[in-house]
Amino acid sequence: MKGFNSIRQRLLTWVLTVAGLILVAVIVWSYLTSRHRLEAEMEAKAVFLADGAARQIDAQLGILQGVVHGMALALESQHLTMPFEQVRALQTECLEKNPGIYGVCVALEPETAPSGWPDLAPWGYREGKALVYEGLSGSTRGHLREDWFGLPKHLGRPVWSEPYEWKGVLMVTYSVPIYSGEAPKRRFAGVVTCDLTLDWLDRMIAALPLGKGGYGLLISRNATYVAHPLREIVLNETVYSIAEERNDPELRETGHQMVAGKPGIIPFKSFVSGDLSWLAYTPLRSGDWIMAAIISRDEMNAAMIQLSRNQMAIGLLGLLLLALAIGRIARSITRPLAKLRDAANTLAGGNLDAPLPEPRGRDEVAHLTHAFAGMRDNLRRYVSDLRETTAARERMSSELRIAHDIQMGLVPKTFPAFPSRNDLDLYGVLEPAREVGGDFYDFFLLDDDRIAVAIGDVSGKGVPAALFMAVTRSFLRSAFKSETDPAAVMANVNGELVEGNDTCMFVTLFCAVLDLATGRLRYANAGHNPPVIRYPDGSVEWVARPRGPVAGVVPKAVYEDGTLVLSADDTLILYTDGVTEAMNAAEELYGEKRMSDSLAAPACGGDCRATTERMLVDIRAFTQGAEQSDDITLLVIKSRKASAPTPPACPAEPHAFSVENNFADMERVMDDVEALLDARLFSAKRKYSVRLALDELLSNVIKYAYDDASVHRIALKLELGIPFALTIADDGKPFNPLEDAPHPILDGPVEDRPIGGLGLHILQKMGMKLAYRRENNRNVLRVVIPEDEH
Amino acid sequence: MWTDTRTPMKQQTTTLRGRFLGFQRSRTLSVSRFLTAAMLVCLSGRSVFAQVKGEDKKPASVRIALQWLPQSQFAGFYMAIEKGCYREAGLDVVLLHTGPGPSSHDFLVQGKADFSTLFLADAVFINGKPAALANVAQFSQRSNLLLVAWKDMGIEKPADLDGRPVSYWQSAFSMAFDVFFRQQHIHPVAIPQHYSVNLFLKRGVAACAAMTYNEYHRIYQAGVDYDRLTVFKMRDFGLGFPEDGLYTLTETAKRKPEVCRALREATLAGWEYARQHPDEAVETVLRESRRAGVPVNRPHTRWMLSHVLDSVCPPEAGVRRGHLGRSAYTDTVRSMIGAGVISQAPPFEAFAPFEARVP
Repeated sequence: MKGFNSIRQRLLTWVLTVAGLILVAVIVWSYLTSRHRLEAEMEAKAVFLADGAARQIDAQLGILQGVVHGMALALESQHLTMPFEQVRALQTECLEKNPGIYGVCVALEPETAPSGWPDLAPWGYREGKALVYEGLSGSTRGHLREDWFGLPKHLGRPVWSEPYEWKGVLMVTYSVPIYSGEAPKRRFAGVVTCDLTLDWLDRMIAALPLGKGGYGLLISRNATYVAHPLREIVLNETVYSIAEERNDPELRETGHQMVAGKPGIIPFKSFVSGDLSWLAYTPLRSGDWIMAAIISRDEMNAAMIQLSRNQMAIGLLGLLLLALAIGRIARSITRPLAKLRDAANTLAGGNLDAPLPEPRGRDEVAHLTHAFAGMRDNLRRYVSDLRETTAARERMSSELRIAHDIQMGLVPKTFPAFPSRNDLDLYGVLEPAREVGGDFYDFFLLDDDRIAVAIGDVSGKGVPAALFMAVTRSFLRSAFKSETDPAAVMANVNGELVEGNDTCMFVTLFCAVLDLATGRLRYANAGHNPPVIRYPDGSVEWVARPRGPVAGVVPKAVYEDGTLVLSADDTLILYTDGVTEAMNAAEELYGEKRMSDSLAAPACGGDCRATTERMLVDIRAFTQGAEQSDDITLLVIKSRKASAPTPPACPAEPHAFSVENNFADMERVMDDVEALLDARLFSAKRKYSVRLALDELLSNVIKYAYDDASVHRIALKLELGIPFALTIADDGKPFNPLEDAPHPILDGPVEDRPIGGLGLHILQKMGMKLAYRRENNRNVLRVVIPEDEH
Repeated sequence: MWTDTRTPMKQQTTTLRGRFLGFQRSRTLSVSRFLTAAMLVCLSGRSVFAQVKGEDKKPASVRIALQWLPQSQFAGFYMAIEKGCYREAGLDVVLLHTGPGPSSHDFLVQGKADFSTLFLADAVFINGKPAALANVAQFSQRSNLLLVAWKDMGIEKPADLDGRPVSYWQSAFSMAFDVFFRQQHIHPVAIPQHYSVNLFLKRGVAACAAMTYNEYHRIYQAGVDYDRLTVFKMRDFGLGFPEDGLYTLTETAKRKPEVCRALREATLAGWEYARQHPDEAVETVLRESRRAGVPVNRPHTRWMLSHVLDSVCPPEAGVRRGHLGRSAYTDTVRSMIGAGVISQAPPFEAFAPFEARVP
């Protein structure tokens, strides 16, 4: 179920591995050091035991030796004249007092034996609990041939015999030589002996604590076994005979070492058990024998291994418990984590109300559970906040969409706008950067011949700009209801905008009135991008002046009219800075140059829609998908003459007026003319020029053309096209103002100068061209007023 | 040792049958083949010595007194009994071991035994005291007598023994030592040696008497390496007299010659078997020794067996096993007379009646 990566598996594996390794290392190390130390102790123990056993045997043998020596002394002191019975009594007493002694014998040389002894070698010994007697000499003087007699005799000192069997009893005999006479005539007289049964030695040695595989043994100086757990080798074998049988020269060498007379310890392979052992040996002090203790190393090793095995078993048990404990701890971690995981999944699924696991305890997992619960609560709060915010934003969004729709509704969108008219081509686009924006364009017909167009850009973006834009548009439309002069409209709109403009927003605005009959365009510019005219040949001209301040800021800003004439197929392009300031990814601006280059292309020579779309394509190609930073607005207007190609001269028939030759009517007709010029959207300057000319020329006629007091009618003709001309015809006396009028005297005091002549001078100075002819008894004076400078 | 041991038995038997009708012995038949035959026949269960039995009479009862306690020295006897050689020869043999008590000669003259083993010199010495002895067989063909001395006591040559204590047995055959000392013009201090070499081992004497097959090895088994010893072999000094032989009273020899002969052959067969099966012989000896309570160990038993076999079946050619050579008898007698041990001895024919017929 759980892979290797689970916490429990990892914990278990790592902890158990490390603990296991530590356990093994500790056990191995402890085994090795303990074994080493224990071996040293076992060696010492073997040495001590050998020594201790030797001393014990020495103690016992010493006592026996003492007894024998005592008896020898007694006999010697008596000069061997002790009666037989006394000797026998002594022997019996000796046996009674020394339970360790098996038998006591006094064996005498025949030559020095006292007379009267029935046997030369009386031997008292035990048979069970009884004390019995035997005479060993017999008829054959057998005692003389025994080692226990001969050795002390020839060696001249007490001797412990080799172990031997006598009448079925295994024994050793201690013989002390006794002498008769005094030095130098001292003679060997015999021996006093005591016998020690081997099984007493066996019992003593068997009681030594040498461990299960260990044992003690006793060998004579000939290395004959005196005592050994293997009964069959006592008497029969020596260390050397066993070495010979096993073909083991090392064992022979061991034998040599053992009988060398010094204590020692050597490694050894036991005969009895076959174990590797130590052999510790030490010579007895009381005799020629060597005591050896054998302690089994294998037994010790086995005990050590058993100990290590037990340790390992306990360790494994411990590991098992550890594994269980770790399992539990891992579970206490992973279970809540699993629950948290499930809860997280549920949460991720969107169900924020799912129950969380209860934190238990105060550990990290509990903290995590707490934190998780806290997170969940926060999430819930955030989600609900988000929902509200999202709902609000969606509301806002939908409101914005509605606002967008409303704003788009504010901007005329249907094209062609005036399908019934074929003298006007108009197309506009508004692509806001956001849902709503501050740009707008507008157009509406003022009357049959005149259309007002406007384009504006509110500072800022978004809803505030859109609101301002809506307000501006309203003001514009309402202003045009009472004014047709763009400059006046602009001043009006500005005044309205300034009032109540706490936000210091402003709008750049351009509005114009186009007379479709004449192609005359009167315009005003409030800080807006100068429009551009594209001529049919592709050349472009910027309409840079006049340009007034932005609207909505300065309370009583003054704007000027500008005038120009749009011939047929001249295209007027109105745009906002969203066009010229369109940015590509490299943050380069589209710019006027590109725009004019784009307009120059023949593709922009088609209708306004084509031109607009072409421009848009070009802008898009430039921005290459960079985010649109500002609203892109374009309004393209082109006037078309309904008739065939005509010279761009004014197509309208001249207007005729009639003036009576009095100043009141002159005023009247000047107002009419001005009203006509207003309707025809002529600039203020033109109007002024016309009024000036009319004033001067009509005044001249009224003043000088008639001598009588009757009413005369003066004909006035206005040509509103290009050239723009006034023609005044009167039937008064022939008068050529150009010649007949006194030349102006320009110097001298004003009061002194004669009246007249000065006006014509001024007119001429204004660039008007005057032309006089007398025709049909009438004076005809034609004044051509040049076009305004743009 | 033996040149051809693998003679086909059938052929042997035919030949033997042919030869032994009338108990004739062919001169041309080598002893070796004969003995092998005898042994094999003995083992195969065929009766060769039908004559001894007579007409299916019960086997003759024979008591042999051996001159000491059980040891490999008597291996031939044990194997002869065990392998049925005596039984085949129509003999019912009982072995009696002697020890420190009455000797095998005592058994013989006291009538406790019909035959006894003795060293040649001992037999010569005790001959006629009180009864005349007849040599029935001579098993040990050579002398194994040694003087073993401590090298580190300065004994390198015989002269070094002068004035030093030397222990040796006091029996007749030890007269070889007396002759030796006289030969070498030395006068060691004589210490009687009885049943052990412990006095020597305890360095109480400078040298002791030893048999090659026994005490010499016992000394080694007591831890004395051979290179610490100086050894004087008596036979190196011309004093090598044959040792173990089988004897009976002269009158017994006269009354039961066929028993004597049968005894010799059967015992030789036993010896042959021991020679060919030494491990089995060693086990038998060990068994006998342990039964008698004699201290024994296998290597010593093996040593003794191999050295005794060298004496009983010597490898050199020209030796008649089981037979006493005339010169051996005469040399021994001469030496003994010269040593003053005896003054006279009976002639060879009287001493060894079963040898006289062979020139």
